[in-house]
Amino acid sequence: MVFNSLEFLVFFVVLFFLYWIGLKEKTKAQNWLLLIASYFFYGYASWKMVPLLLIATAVFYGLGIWIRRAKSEKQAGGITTLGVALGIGLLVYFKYLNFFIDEFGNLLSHCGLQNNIHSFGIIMPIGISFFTFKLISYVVEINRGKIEPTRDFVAFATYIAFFPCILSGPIDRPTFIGQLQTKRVFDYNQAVDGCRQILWGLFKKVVVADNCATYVDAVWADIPNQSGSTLILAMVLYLFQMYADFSGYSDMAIGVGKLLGFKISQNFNNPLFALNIADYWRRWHMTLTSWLTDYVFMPLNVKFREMGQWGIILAIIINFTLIGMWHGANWTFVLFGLYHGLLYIPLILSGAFYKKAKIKTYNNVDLPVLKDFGCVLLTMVFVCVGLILFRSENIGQCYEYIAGICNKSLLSVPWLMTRHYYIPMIISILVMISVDWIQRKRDHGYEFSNIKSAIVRYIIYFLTIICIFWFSSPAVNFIYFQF
Amino acid sequence: MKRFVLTFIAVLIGLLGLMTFVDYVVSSGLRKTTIRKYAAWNDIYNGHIDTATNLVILGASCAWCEYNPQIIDSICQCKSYNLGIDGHTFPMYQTRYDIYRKFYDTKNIIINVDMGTLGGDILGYEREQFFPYFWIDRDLINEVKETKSYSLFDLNLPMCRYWGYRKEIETGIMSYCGQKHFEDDGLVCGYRGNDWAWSRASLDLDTVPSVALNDYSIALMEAFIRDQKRDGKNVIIVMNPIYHELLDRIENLEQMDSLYNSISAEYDVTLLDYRRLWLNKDSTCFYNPSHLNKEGSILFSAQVANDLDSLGLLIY
Repeated sequence: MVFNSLEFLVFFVVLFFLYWIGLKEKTKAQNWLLLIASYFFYGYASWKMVPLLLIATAVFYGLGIWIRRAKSEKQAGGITTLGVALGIGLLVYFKYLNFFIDEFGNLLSHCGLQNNIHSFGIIMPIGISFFTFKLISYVVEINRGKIEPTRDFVAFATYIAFFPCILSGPIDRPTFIGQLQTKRVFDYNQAVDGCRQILWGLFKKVVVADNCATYVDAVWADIPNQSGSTLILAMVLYLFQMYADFSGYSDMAIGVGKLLGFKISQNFNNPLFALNIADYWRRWHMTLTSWLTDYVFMPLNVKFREMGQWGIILAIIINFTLIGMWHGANWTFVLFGLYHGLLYIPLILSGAFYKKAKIKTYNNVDLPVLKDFGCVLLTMVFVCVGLILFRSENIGQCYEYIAGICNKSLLSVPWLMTRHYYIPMIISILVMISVDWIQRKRDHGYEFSNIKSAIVRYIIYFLTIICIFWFSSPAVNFIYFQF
Repeated sequence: MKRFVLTFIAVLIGLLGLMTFVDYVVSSGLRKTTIRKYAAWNDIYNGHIDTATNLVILGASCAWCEYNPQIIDSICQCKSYNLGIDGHTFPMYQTRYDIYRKFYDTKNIIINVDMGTLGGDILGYEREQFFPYFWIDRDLINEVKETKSYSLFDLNLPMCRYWGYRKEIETGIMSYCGQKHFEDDGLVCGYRGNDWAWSRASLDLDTVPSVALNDYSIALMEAFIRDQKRDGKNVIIVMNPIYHELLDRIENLEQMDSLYNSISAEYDVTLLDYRRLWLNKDSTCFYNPSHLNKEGSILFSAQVANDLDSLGLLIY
């Protein structure tokens, strides 16, 4: 059940009315309803994995209480380590075990040793990368003394399985449990804002991402026969597809949360306007990068502090390699992470890493100054190159793609599909960038507190809905579902 | 909360109204086109078929691109219409015929049988061809809703079925606004000869071609023939030309022969076998090994018409 489906609309409308009218101001009952709805939502995608989610939740609920009851800091630390190991173990087993087995078998074959080693048919539970991170951060935060373990299992289980976020994030911290334990009062403005954010997310996903996907998938399906210019165009369009797809999903998830009275963490902050790679990662998939910053980078940074700048570089490289690996069990993801980690080196050595970049605009017109525009373009070039690694099925395909770019066909006219297709695609991308730019200081593109005229707002809503219908393509799954 | 719900309901009603209007425009527009997948349905529903029609041709792509009604009419002195429906099997031939019979009649039925005729139901193929008729003929939609995977939303909400079919939406709107010509159009009486270059690509594949024989489709065809004969209709089974290289490779050709011979004998229907017609060695008459091109279809139509006429196989 995806957000951009009528099944979800029916599911959510029923839930919404039960939640706010049937169970008005009954917090515990509302939590029960959310829990059942979340498990229904998860089970609709993958019912066989529901027991795993429930058991993992129950185990970590118990671990949280056990940590607080520990007789010493050492014991608490040991229980926390157990929790972290269990969480990582889940990820390793479901996500990486097949990969390691296959690579081991390949290594033996390369060494001339015949083997019958085959990977198991392990099915990766959908959303595992997201909910295990929530479970791990829960026990770590308790051990650090930042939160108290909750005795309210329903609230805890709802936090872990919360349906807007379970499949593709955002990865909220355990402080979210506090929102579940607080009475929710219907806020008209928040609900309307939620609807607007859902609409904006839907536009990005359906109109921009899915249409870019048509072109990108066609090019990637036949790399050897594409010109260099076509490969470059597909690389750029993949950037827009990724951004529109993932940020669109996040917008819809946050919007749904607002409709239920929750504040879900922002996951994107206009990464297409990043001035350098550090700025990019402060704006892209913010909940993942902040999670890894808090639980991996900062501890490593402390550990390597005696190495000075090289310690920071090492910590960054390890951090980003893990970010790459989080995305999937493939050497391309490892290299993707490593690549981004290495891009930090000039920033760290020059000191720019420590400065929070802010885009400057001209006084008389709200456009970036030429220098900053150049920095943004350069940053996007680096990001696009990284996305070749991200999108490739294996290193060989990545090499094939890059080799395809680096030849004289780079100067030829790229394949554009029909005008009927590429003109609306380009217009939709320009609309997305323009709205993001104009609204960059607001939470999301359709935060219309500055538009006073109701007629103008409704025209925008209806035009958006018409565009969504008009440019819809056969359903394409959200990219981050696979992680 | 009350304000939010009332606003939401008002927006929803506005949206439903807008979508209903757009659905009307798109569907009406598509019902005016001669685009291949809609042409025959449009002729049926818009009353464009001559009520004096006394010969219909059922089949799949081998029917609609190979039987030229104008040639058949001029030789046989009859009125014919080609009900061929691309890419489908016998169950859909029958569906089309049933809908045709709601408005028109015929005395003679040619069933063109090719390698795929008696295959199972084709799921989902060109499911958009039925979109324009959702609100005008529920019988048709009820017949196809399972094989075309129409959901409850598709069946009951305006524009839902068009989600993901941008080309259909744009074509419908442009047609409604007066545009006459579109890609893949130009069918006349359900026929269009294809001026496409010969391609032997399918012959170079490793797969062994075979005739599809699905029990359900076989039973359906036999029941259909039985019912039509009981109603006094004249049924003729015709096997269209197959390029000789493909014909020689079909692994269960004898099974196909045996089946149709037994149907012909049991139900007393004429069987005309043109699979080895003289032009089946001439690749200039084909665009692929199983389909005649425009030139080939003209020659074939003339051959069939002459045989129908000289053998007195039609009833008037």
